[in-house]
Amino acid sequence: MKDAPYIEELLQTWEQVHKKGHLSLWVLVALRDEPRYPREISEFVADVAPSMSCEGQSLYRALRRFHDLELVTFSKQKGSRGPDRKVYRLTALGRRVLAAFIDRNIMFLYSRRVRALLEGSDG
Amino acid sequence: MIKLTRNQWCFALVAAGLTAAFHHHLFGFIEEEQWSSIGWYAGGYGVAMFLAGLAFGATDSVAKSRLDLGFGYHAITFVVVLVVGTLAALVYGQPVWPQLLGTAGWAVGLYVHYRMSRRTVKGLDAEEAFP
Repeated sequence: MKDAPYIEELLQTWEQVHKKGHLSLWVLVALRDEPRYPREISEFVADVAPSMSCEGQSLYRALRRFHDLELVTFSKQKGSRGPDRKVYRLTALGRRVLAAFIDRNIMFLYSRRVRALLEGSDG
Repeated sequence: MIKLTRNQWCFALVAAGLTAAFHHHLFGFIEEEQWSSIGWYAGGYGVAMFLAGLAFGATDSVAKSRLDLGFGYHAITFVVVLVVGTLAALVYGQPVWPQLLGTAGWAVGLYVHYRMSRRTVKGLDAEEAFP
């Protein structure tokens, strides 16, 4: 199909914009049920949302911002070798914000009407 | 409820002191009709206020971003100059209307600064808070 490269380019451009904000969602979801080290957060995101890139610098930057916003907090744990490591968890505020965000922006996608629209026949 | 940082409170006090001193000597110059001195004196006062705001703002550690800190110091300066200037005019028996007229014009500039300052959330640029 000769349009395939152009379609791929369009998809990648659209996905790049679409993914903005998704990293925040998956990082916070990763911390909802248990505290995690940054490496564990990265592995969780890679497992749940393979198309997301959650590399070191972007993840640490996100965690710093969420800490400033009081959505997450951390404690330091002694590493078996080397420096102490930070383990992150959601704050009560973070839980409320995450739950509200999912309710307002994600759950409607699972409504019958929206699913029917999204699964509509190809033109 | 507007919360000021520690540095902003310190700046407000310094600004109040500078403004009170400025008006004390200003009315003296006006009474003695030393018009040329007023220009230099006002210029020095303006520079001192600006440098004080810069010094306190640059070392303000609470906000993580400088994006709306500038507007905060501008607003503090506006309020301090308005209050202290008006009080000084009343204390020294000078007309208040020049102070109020100048402040009305300044209020327009302050509003423009407000509209142009970036939106922040806890000091972070709102557009970068959630990557």
